[in-house]
Amino acid sequence: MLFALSWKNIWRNPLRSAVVIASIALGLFCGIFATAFMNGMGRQTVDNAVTRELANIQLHEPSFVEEPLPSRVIPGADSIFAALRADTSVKAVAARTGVTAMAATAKTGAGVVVKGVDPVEERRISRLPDDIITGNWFEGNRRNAAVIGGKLAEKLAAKLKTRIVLTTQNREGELTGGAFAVVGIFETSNSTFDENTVFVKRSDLSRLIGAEGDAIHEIVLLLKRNESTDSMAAMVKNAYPGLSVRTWKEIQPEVGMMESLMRQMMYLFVLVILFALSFGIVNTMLMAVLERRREFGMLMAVGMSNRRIFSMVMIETVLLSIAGGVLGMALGEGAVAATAKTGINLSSLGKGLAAIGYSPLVYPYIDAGFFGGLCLLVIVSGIVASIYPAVKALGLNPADAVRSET
Amino acid sequence: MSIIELKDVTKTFNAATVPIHAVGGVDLTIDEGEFAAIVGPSGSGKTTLLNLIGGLDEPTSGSIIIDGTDITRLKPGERTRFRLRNIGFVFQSYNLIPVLTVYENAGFIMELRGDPAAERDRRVRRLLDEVGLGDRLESRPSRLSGGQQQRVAVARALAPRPRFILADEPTANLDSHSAENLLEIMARLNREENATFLFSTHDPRVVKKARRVITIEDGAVASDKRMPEERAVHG
Repeated sequence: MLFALSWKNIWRNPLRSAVVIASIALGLFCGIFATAFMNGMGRQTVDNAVTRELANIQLHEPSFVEEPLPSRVIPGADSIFAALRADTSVKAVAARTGVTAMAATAKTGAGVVVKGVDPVEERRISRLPDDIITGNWFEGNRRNAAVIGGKLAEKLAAKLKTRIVLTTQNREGELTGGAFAVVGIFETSNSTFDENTVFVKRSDLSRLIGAEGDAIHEIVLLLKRNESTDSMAAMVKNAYPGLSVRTWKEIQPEVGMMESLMRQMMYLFVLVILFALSFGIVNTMLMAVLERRREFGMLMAVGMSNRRIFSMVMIETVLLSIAGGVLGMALGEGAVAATAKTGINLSSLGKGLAAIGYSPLVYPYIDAGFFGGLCLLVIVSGIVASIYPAVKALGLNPADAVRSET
Repeated sequence: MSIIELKDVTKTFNAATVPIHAVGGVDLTIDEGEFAAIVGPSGSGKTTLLNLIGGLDEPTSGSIIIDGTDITRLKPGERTRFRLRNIGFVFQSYNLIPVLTVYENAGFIMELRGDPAAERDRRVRRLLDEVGLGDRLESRPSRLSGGQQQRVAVARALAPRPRFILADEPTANLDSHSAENLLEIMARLNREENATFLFSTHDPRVVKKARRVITIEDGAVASDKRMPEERAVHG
């Protein structure tokens, strides 16, 4: 009875209720879309970091992490590589050689990180080959080929076929160098990465640093599910206690922090919106109660209990909130669905975003669980917003209220 | 058999500042099946007295015994439940719920009491037929005249078969024809259902119909007259 009566009461003043429902819907729509937008940015940052730079887990010889010297290779890398590739939760494994070097062209030079990769293996683990904007990803059997970032190319005034000299230390700690021809230029959303990373073939780099066979400094794992990163890392640590095993969150904690911060911000953001909206709801319900003083007086007089009167006002408020909430969630989900495939192009801000590791094309994303939490928040806001008007209703004196003008 | 018994009931407002003695030492007994009117000039205390009898207000002293229960000793929640179970109210301004139909309004208190739906349906339909609104079950109050709305209010009050009905100025907002019609209906229901009615009124038409007229002046019973039986029956 209370439920049906409360629902009918909402439509007593359709315009006023519609305004409140619309304001809740609009507020939630904005909250959901902004949340999905931030969430999308956060996910893309993580996704970019994992699929282009870091993968899920990296293994190194522990001292290499402190100072990446060419001599600090992973002992028994081949067997570790084979064992990890056999794990069912692993999507792909790659072994890399890594050194720091000076890259120089005839015009200028820059400090860089050189990654020696197996191009086929690397393609399985990284989407970077898809980001080539000029040239190719080590096609053919050309020796001493290099793929560099667009920013670095700009800095070194290099283009395709430009020869760059990489100067680094060899295994003995002596200076060594080699000329590499640019065969590809990539561009990711992380301009810092683009500015200081050079990819060469693992065999070429190993030869440059004087290693017998391939020198493996780094084994990277791409997992089938990002969520299993921590558990897999724990297993690998257990299996190889002598190695440094780090997840992408440990390597770039700021990316992990950003992701968790954005998750918390999602609820905080919507909470602030609902908090602001609840004042509007309180105002509306207070008006509704005061306009119906005579009716509340009658209800009290005929024997409706305080609990039922309180519940009636509360249900009315919650229903009003839910109506706005459902509409807002439908609009928000619709807008997210509409933009999730095409993305939102922020190329006008693109350079600034890329400098801090964001893609200028943002794909809003919101997971279904968020809506569950949101429903709960909407209901709680409705309950909280109903307290004051309901207490006002209970404060009426039935004998006076039944004789009032309203 | 008495349903309502007031023993030395007083009510003083603003006791701490400027005391107003609205009701002073009233002793009164209302029997089952009575059709009684409390009359008196404005400010005489008749509405206060009705509020006290209805448990909407607490007396400053004295006791109000309804069907053997001293309602002045009940806690607020118990008094609310007592009203729901025992007292019917008809208000001057009808006070129907505008979003409910005539049928829903008339059955509202029975529903509030949790009476079985089938019984409620039978009772509400019969009463609405009795008050001449059997063909307006689905109408909203806003589509009815004042007299029709007050008839719905009477049906609502009578539906759960309360021990008695308190009607505060029930004809004050009605034209002569509607008022006469309403009084006829209430008088008939009083006879047929043995429903006890206690009015507070200024209206001479109500006074004319009443079988007992209690006059209140300055918060006290100035006179208490029982009228000949045929007066109420034949108007």
